[in-house]
This record gives sequence, C-alpha cells and structure tokens, in this order.
Amino acid sequence: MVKKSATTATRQSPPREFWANELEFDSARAEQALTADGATERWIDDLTGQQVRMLCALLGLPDDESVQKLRPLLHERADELPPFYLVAQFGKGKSEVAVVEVARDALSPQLVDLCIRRKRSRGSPDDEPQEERYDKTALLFALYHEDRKFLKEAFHFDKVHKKGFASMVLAEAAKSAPKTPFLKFLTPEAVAHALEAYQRQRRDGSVSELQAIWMREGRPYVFIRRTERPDHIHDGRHIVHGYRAEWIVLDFSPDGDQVNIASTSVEEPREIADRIASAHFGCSCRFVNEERATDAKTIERFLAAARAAQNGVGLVEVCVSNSPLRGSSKVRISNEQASALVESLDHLDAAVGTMLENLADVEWVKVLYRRKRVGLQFEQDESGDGQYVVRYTDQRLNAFERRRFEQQMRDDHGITILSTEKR
Amino acid sequence: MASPSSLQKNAEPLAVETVAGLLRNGSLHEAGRPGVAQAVKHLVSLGLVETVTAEYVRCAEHRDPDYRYVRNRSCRGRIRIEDDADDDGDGLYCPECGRKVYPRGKARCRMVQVEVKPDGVAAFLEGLLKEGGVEPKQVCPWVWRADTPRGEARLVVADYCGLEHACRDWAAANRACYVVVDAASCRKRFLPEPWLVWTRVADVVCGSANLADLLSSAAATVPASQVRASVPVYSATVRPVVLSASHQQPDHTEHSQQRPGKTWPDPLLHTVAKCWTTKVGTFGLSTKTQGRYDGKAEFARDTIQAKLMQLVCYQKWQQQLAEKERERQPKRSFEMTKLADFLSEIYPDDMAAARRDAARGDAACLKALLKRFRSLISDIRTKKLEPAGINPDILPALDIESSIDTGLSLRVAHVHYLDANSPEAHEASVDPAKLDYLRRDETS
Repeated sequence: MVKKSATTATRQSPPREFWANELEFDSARAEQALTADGATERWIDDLTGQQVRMLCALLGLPDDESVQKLRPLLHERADELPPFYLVAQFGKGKSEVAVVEVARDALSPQLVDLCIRRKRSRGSPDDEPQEERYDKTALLFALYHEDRKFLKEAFHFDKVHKKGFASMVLAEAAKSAPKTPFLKFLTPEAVAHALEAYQRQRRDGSVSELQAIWMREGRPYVFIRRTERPDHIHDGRHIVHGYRAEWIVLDFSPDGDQVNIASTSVEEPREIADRIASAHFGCSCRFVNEERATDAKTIERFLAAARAAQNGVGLVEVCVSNSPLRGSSKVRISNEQASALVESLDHLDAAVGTMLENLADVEWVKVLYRRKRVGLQFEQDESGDGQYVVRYTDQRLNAFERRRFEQQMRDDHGITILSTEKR
Repeated sequence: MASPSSLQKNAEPLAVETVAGLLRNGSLHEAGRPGVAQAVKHLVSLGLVETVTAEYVRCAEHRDPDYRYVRNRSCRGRIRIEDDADDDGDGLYCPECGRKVYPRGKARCRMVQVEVKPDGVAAFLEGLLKEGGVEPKQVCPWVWRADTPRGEARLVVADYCGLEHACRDWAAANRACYVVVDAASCRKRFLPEPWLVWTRVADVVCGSANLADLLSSAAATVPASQVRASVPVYSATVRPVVLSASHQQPDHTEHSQQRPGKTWPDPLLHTVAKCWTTKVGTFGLSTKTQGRYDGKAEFARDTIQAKLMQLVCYQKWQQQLAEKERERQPKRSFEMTKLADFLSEIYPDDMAAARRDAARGDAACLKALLKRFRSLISDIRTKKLEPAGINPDILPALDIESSIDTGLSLRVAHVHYLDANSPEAHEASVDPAKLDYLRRDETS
C-alpha cells in the first residue's frame, strides 16, 4: 500500500485564473460539462485501474484492493473529485514523456510505479530494453495533488517535446569572461528586465511575459509567452479582437553561449536571446544558426549503413531530384519497412540506375528511428568543396529521443546533425 | 556554333562531373553553383544543349518573411515563378506540401533546366572527328563509320542508337566505339570487358578523352573470344528483346530494316548461301540463317563488286569440294586463297605494277591497292549485304594490318549454286549458259 498523502481533506479547485492563464485551459467549459446528470458517475466508471488506485491513494482510501472494490469508494467521495476531472481534461493531448519527466522529479517512486500501465515493446531490436509506459492522467492527478505548479511545468515541457529547436551559437565569442556564471545571472528578474528593454525598443505594442525558468540536466529553459500578431476569435456571440499568443522556449547552454530556440516567430526570439546574452556578457552579442559540415564520403557511408538497416536506423523514404530516369524526373520512393524499401531501391538501381549516386541530388531521406520516421536533409556547402550540413526533423522525436539520435549519429557515423529549424 | 574542341582561353577548366550532370536531359541545376554557369555557356555554344532559366522560391526558407506561417518547416518544395505571374503570384502552390505560397518578398534563386539536343550531339561528334582528320560517314542513325590509321571503326551514340547496335556481337564485329550523353550510372551499364571502348560526351567536351584516339583504338581492338556476358532467361528489371512474330515466318519480300534488335549468330555455323548468275549477267546471292531467309543481294554485271563476290563464292565452293574429296582422298587439302590472288584477279594491271614496284623496294602502290580493296569489301558489306538483310560478316572486314598474304574466304556454312534444275532457277532468271561459270573455270 502506498504511503498516504499528508493532505487528504477536500481540496479546493485552483482559481479559474490559474487554469485559464497559466495552463491555457478553459475550466469553465469543463465544469459545465460536469454539471450534467450522472456525468461524475460516468467519469468514475470510465477511469482506468491506475487512475482509480491513484485517486484512492490521494484521497486516503485503501488502494491495494481490486479495482472493482475501489471504484465504489470513489463514488462515495464524488464531491471531492471535480478538480481531478479538470486535471484529466487538461491532460488530454499532453505529452506522456513530459508528464513522466516532471513526475519522476516531483513524486515518490512508489507513486510513479503505481501508474505503470504495461510494458510494451517499441519494435526495437531484442537487445534494446523495453520501455515502460505510464498512465499519464494518473500521474497528473498525483502532480496536481502534490502542487499545482507541477501541472504548469508539465504544460511547459509538453512544448519542449513537441517542437523543433533551432540550434544557435554566438556569432563571435565574448571578449571577456563575465564575472557572474550564466546560471546565476539567469534569474526571472534579469530575463524580465531584458524583455522590458526589448519591448521598449520594438515599440510595436507586443507584450512578452516570462512564464517560468526551469532547469533540466543542467540547462536552463526560459519560457516566454508573447503576443505574436493581431487575431480574433468568436466567443459565441461576438468577434473578440486580440492577439495570437505564441510560446518562445529558449534552451540555453550552461555557459550561455549557445541556445536552442523553439517559436513560431523568427526574428523576435533570436533578438530576445541576443539581449539576454548581451546583458550577461556585457557586450553586444548576436546568435546565428549553427552549422556543422560533414564531408560527402561520411554521409555516403551513413546512407549505405542505413540502407543495410544497421544500428537500428533503417532507410524508409528517399526523394531524389535529377533521378537516373530518362528526363531526370524527381523520384520519391517510400515504404513502411526499411527492408522492403531496400528491395525497391535495388530494383530501381538495376533497372534504371543508382538512386543515391549523387548526394547533391538527394533532396531528403527518411530513416526509421524508434518507430518514427525522421527526415534527414543534406544542405550542400556554398563553397562547393563537397561538405554538407546534415539537418533532421527533430520535432518528430521527443527531447530524449533527439539527444539519443544525435549522439548515435555522432558516435556511430561521425555526423553532427542539426535541426531543420532555423532562425 | 563554337568549334567542337574550343574552350574559351583563360577560362577555368570545366569540371567533368558538372558537365556530365548538365548533359542529362530534363535535369535541373542551381545556376549559382560554382562552375554551372560556365559549363552551361560552353555546352550551349557547342549546340549540345538548350536551357531554360527560371526563378524559384523555397516553400520553407528561414530568411523569408512568411517562414513564421509555414507549418512544415522541413518542406523542401521549390516553387517556380512564371514570368507572367502577378506581383503576389496568386495561385502558386508548393508542389511538395500543397501550401499556398506568395512569392513577394521571398528570396529567389535561379535554376537552369537542360534540354539536350540530339541533333546538336550528332553535329558535335561529326565536327570533332572532322577536326581530327577523320571523315565520318553515317551508316544509319547514330552510327558512323570512320577510317582511322589503325583501321575501320564505328562511332555509336549509345543513348539513341538502335538496340542491335548496342549488342556485343555487333560491337565485336564492327569495332565499335560508344559515346554516352546521359552518363548516369554508365559505368555499371557497359559490359565490363576490357576490349569494349566507350566514353562520355562530358569527357570529350572537357578534353579528358580524345574521340579520334578512341576510335583508332576501337579499330585495333581484339574482342575477347571468351564471353563474360550472358542473356538471363528471367529478369525483373529488363524485359527480353524478342523478335516479333512476323520474323518467325520466312518472308522473301521482307526488308532487312525491319529487324529490330537483330543479333547475328556466327555465319560460319548458322548461315547458308545460294548464288546464281542471271541471263543479263547479274550475280545474285541470298542467305538463310538458322533456316530463316535473310535477304537477297544483287551485283550488276561486270562490276568489281560482282567479280569479288563471284570469286569468294567460287573459292568457298572449291573448299566444299575439297572437303568432300578429303573424305575419299585424305591427302587432298584446300588452301585458303590469299589477298594477292584476289588482287591479281580483280586489279590485274595494278597488281602487276605494284609487284614490280615492290620488287624495287617501293611498297606504296601495294599499300594503296590494299586500301582500295579494303574499301571495296567495306562497301559490299555496308551498301549491299547489310541493306539486303544479309549478315555482313559473311564477308569479313579487313583490318589495317592485313597484307597480301592474308587469307580471305566467304564465311558461311555452305554455298549452293543454282542450276537450271533448281526450283528457284526460273524465279531468279538463272541463265543456263552462265550457270557453270565457276564450274567451267574449275575445269579450265
């Protein structure tokens, strides 16, 4: 039996302001849905075993009985469940990886283990460890119960796992080392100050708000919400004019000389990052897109290995301009299975000509990595000396998968890959 | 059009691979890439290609103002801007992701699309050979005959020639030198046999291959007797070349040109010949290969060509007789007639004079006579036998190193003379009086 939580009394739902502004969730609509006859009962009946056990644990009820016996106990305490209903609705569409990541830091291992759904193979080779899957909603119940700020953290990191990040580096290294380490400098006050200065400079009426700064694996993540451009919505009766909100995520290196940027807008987040770096280094700083070139031979070796589906990276799509077909038409060939695509490529090679003969003509390839199709593009260096910048569609992978994929490409194939995102 | 061998002075040498890429019909290239503009200019000046240059915008380009609205920022789509498009380019869509694209304010790049001109290729190759002192003679589309210092050879454009001219047997018999315009994967496309001579047009354009030299080496090449290639009975890639049903039935009116993909088997084993002299003195020859009628060639009365064909047929007939006799009298043998005998028969006065000069140490006349004889054989092969649908290899070509001691014989399995009793005699208007021309020769 899981150790009972200290607080088992009836919890008040957070104010609507929290749901609406911090989590961008319309709690009023969810509460309205719950007022329908029998809505709470139906919801309790639909809860999974992990969710039932978790709610029982959080409410101080016994949780080691069978789910059939626990569910009636929840029906008895239905008046305490509306906030959890809101949490469940908020959790829809949120990344499981983001929730688990926050939960591992915030919750006791016993509570986290209570949410293990089942072990499922990810279709990876047998020697690769199987991944545990978790009941995301049950974890969110526990996070909300622990502290509602963890919902905010999960909401923020949901964006990290779902968006691509442009890798930027300082155009010129700072001439002198700053007195304060970057991690100490990067306080909410310092960022807010930089944002204010930036807004004053732009004078376009846009508003940028610092939402939070979180640390992950020694790297500070700055979350900023900004009015991107004028827009309107229909509230059911009227058109309401306002701004479309965008999230800017700045993932700084511990020294502050490199940043990964996720955003909708292009120039603004880079300028904000420039301003933060300038304030830290005490001189004018400018971030530019990172470029790491790889020679053509290395990439050709990688493509040969991917064609042979070595190292868990198999080729599943190829798009070639100036193909060996007569008329040099663009050819795109795709399959769900790497082995089947290789057969097709062999057939084409024999009948028509080598598809991957000239790297400059390869528009993109897609490889299967952890059952996800990851695109790889080869940008020829403008100097024409046979060097290529290899970019990949990082938004297809979550943050952990990205790091592992980048490392695998670096270690196994000698290729430094960067996101297709640029600023 | 610029001279085929010209390259602007002071210009940087062209990259062969860039030129090879540009010689691919329909290919699209970024005009700003190093070396592309210069190579395009040169190829256009040689008449090999025509190009269309157009402006393009990228669907997802981070420097463009619309990048923030692009949902798929990995999109590699390129949108062509038509010259007559309005400022907003309304109605342009990305061919990859289908997004509507407004090109105003977007960065533009120029792309060159290449159209290879086959006529230009033909003119370029002919011009190049003429510049090199070789006079090419087109024998059929995309095949030229050329006399080189080392003998006769054929220049064949592999991209456009008929299938029969890309066959190993034909290449071996005709001393072919192949050139490839679209060189994609060509290294894997040619038979990996060392005697086979081929090059890319790109190499010729860039000067890394000399066409006259290659032709010359093709003329002197000795095809390997051991064949490293075999015809697969099943292939998931290339369909087999099958002769159409009409070729299965013997049709004496059929013309040789209707023989797509014809590859001749060895005539010494598979071809039989019939010959006759008509009432008006015309010498006729027809052949059958593997039991199938090939065609009929006629040689006008009292021409040198007719005389030579009569002689080689007679000689072959003699050989048959000798072989028959040998079965009864093993000591009797037959010696292949040497070129000297043929020359004495066909050019008696010139041969006598050449022999006199040779005895004085002057071999020029003899060489000229041999050259004349080679040309005669070549004409019979290409102008008479081949157009008639007869395997030209029944009369073997002479190479440049042949001498008066070189042997010459009709390369057929058997030769048969029509006489008045032959069923075809009436049809062929065989003159009974002239029927035994050769037999009378024999008795005399």
